[in-house]
Amino acid sequence: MNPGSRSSAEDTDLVLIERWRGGESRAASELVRRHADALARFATSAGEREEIEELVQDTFVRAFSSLHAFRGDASFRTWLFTIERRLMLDRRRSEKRRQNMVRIENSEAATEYDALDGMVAQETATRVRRSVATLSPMQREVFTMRVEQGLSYREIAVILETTEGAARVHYHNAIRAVKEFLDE
Amino acid sequence: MNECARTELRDALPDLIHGRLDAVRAVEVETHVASCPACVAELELLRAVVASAPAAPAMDVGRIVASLPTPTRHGLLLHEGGGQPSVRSVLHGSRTMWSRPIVRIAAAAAIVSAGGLSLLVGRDVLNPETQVGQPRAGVATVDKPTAQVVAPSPVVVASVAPDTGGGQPSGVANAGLSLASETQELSDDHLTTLLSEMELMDGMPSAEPDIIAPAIGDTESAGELK
Ligand SMILES: [Zn+2]
Repeated sequence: MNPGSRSSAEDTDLVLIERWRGGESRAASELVRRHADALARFATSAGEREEIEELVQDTFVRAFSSLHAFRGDASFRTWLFTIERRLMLDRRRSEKRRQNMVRIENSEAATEYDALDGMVAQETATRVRRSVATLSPMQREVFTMRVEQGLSYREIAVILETTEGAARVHYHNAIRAVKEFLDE
Repeated sequence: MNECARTELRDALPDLIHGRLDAVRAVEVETHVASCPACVAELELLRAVVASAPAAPAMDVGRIVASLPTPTRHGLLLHEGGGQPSVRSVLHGSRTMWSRPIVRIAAAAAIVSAGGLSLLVGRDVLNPETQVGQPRAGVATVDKPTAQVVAPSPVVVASVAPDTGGGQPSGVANAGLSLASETQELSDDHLTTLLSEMELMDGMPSAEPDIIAPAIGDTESAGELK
């Protein structure tokens, strides 16, 4: 590591990771600044409503604790999403957490609608959220990653530990279902 | 609603919204959309989905950074902000631990009864999988050491239960220091040295999570988030 080097916005994630591995703790600041908001959006998009910053923080702690093992096969952000998703799964397996979570399961969709009614001013937006809420969990996860997060099928496949082809199929089934809901 | 037959272009619509297309590809997709009512409608729908997405809270970058482990030249981790406990943080605790009488008894038993020198650190100490949802503060503090002698095995297991302040046991609570030594005496300095050497071992688990996508058809974990 160059002692005079400074982590900057121009450095790639991999460069920053290497600098961090080399002992430059400042590199972590830029990596967090770069990805924290995306992780927050990812969690929100996936239905998390509580303690999102704690979730994001846990994600970074886990990531940096095993950063030496990051191989760079996928992007750092995709790797972070993968870790965050696993943390979300762990959260949801906890009964206590589950009670506090806004569930978007079909059986409780009415509750979600009621909550959304208060938050979303426009009728169109409300209907769109309703349509997304009617998707199967798998469809919804793929759909929100693709549309709301802009992730590629490849990235989605990595995060969900599936294939690009499967992700594509789920996406197209999802958007078809959303259209049908909105056309009713 | 009609669907566009140009699947490869239609598939790029989310990327167009998120600016993830290079300039050439973006122009290609936009040109197509301009002449495709189905893609115009779908693009409008996708934008509506994005616009309706719940807003994420703002993140406090400084707070998150403060919680992160600190890198060292050896790729080992020093936890200053109270993130996942490292071997070194456990080592710190061990200095307190060995000074406690009850643990000294356990250590003495290990010294007397064991053959061969080996040091094992419970995998839970190093396994991030067990750290999920752990309290972020004070995990390196060891305030409530307990020791458990496993007889008639020559191995002594000393369990260290830190006071995390939240009452919830952390991964450190499961940390087991298994000692087996034929040395006549194991002073604090010896233990410190041994633990320091342990840190140089590649004790961390391999890349977790595994980012290699499994074979085609494995979609079991997809959609787990409900
Ligand atoms: Zn089209």
